[in-house]
Amino acid sequence: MFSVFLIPTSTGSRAAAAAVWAAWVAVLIGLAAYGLFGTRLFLLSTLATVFMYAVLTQAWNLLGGYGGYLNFGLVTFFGIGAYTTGILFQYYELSPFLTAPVAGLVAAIAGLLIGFPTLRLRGAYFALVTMIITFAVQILALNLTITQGALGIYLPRLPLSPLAVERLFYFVFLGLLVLVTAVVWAVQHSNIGGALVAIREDEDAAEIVGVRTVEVKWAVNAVSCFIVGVTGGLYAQRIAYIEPTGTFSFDISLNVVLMAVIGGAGTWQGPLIGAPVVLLVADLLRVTVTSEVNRVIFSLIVILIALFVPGGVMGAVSRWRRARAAKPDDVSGSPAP
Amino acid sequence: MSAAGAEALLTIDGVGKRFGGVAAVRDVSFSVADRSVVGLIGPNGSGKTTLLNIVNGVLAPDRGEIRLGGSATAGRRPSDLAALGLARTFQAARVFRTLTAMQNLFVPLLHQKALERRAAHRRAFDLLVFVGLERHADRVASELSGGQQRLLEFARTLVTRPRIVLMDEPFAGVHPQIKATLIRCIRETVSREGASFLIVSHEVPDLVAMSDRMVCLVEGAVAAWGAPADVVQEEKVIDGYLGRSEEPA
Ligand SMILES: Nc1ncnc2c1ncn2[C@@H]1O[C@H](COP(=O)(O)OP(=O)(O)O)[C@@H](O)[C@H]1O
Ligand SMILES: [Mg+2]
Repeated sequence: MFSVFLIPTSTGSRAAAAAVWAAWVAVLIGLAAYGLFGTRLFLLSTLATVFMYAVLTQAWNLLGGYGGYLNFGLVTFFGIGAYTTGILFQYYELSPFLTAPVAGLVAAIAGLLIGFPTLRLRGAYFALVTMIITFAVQILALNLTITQGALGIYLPRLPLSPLAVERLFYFVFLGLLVLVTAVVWAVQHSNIGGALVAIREDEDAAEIVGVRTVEVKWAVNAVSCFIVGVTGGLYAQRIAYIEPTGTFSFDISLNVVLMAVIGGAGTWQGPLIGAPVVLLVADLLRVTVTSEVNRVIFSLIVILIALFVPGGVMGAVSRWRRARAAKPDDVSGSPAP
Repeated sequence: MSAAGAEALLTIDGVGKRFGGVAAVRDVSFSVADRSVVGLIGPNGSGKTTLLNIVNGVLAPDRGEIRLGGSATAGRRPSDLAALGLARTFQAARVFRTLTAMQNLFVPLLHQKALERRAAHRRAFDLLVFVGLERHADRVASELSGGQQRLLEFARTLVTRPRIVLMDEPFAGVHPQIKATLIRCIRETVSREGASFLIVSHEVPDLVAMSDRMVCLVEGAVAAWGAPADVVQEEKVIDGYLGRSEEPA
């Protein structure tokens, strides 16, 4: 149904591109080295959380950043993933490391079912409904027997030293992040990424031009939910205890949107920048102000960024690049209004 | 022209559409043969755009039927019709603004089965050359001029090798040079690829020159249908659209 292949993107100088790639690889090597040799539990654990959020934000980015469908309920699928591995351990004693793919599948199926009605909605309606669905699923988790309601589900503590545990999740989420970033990179540089951007800009025109918009949105949403489900499934093992309030917390959904918007939605680099920035700011705020004030400050930051830095950090970077590359021999007429 | 008795490429058969109290299209019938150009004229508000919207599945007709290549299009989505070889341009060009010119041409190819990457690249680049935009291949569409956006939109309709292209006022407000390019490209596409065109325009002399057939809508209904030279002489067309500018007031 799809014939997906890489397509050319506008390219600057090769040397500059190589330098940027080298920088990313250096960061990755640095992070891997810290994972191997670092011993500060707090830092390992914080970085693992950054990686986890970056994975979630990349997953959100697929449909939200490229396709323009702003999901404010990503945590629904995160929670479904967490409960899948939680329940599979509870009843069958299967390790979440084994069942994480199952968590991804369950989340993807939930994504397909929920996407059936919701992906027909556009703009603010989609955002609102995805948010409401989180609360509905949370209420389900609170009331079903299989989820053990507010009591929650305990998972086994791993028979490892605290440092080894932190290292393990550090590398699990770093590895997942590299994989998922590669997927997002490929999407951005393929015709399916082009179709998603077309949907974001003019969904009716995309359909008329021949994009099966409904199928594209479903497929991409399912992939995104799969990634989020896997992440949730591993998260359950990491915190070793899940209950409906924290696992389906709206804060997680909100954080992910903030990270994408601040880093630059619709670029593969955006989530890599947004996740650490937002978590850093959140940590600073957490030690200085109350959580209500925290939310207000966050909202203000987002509004300010939306107003003054469209496209987030990556938007600013690409504007700067384009300004530098702009040639004075432009005789081909003025841009259309 | 297709053989007598054979079904035309596109048949519009007794189509009607109302918007509330307004009958935008009334019992319209005509057809577009293989490898032909049909010009669609009529005053503003006579239902031309509405008719195109019905033909490509954006609007459902209240009555009547559209047949493409012999089969009814009722219930098909625009993307289905695109897969059957129907393409279109819009009254105001609708390019994907943050994609490059080249990337714009890849959007319609997502569901093209037999196409491999290399063939797609070739096709896309050849089309940019065809409309004269190859120098702008890597520029994002929003940086192109209005006329260039029209050329890009036109190239985008051709990338899937459509059997018929609907064009809604392609020459409105464009530079004469762009218009000349568009007309040349339309002619060559008919002769080289065997595509058909249904073109809405107010540039009647140009349309008469390039069309095999013409149809004039007045108040949603067909005022005349036939050879271009005959259509522009019709009493109803002159009264309802062209006016009698030659005669003293
Ligand atoms: N979506 C719509 N809702 C209500 N009325 C419409 C709509 N689209 C077109 N119309 C009306 O239908 C008539 C034909 O419009 P249109 O097809 O745009 O004419 P043309 O393209 O020939 O200028 C006009 O009276 C217009 O106001
Ligand atoms: Mg019109």
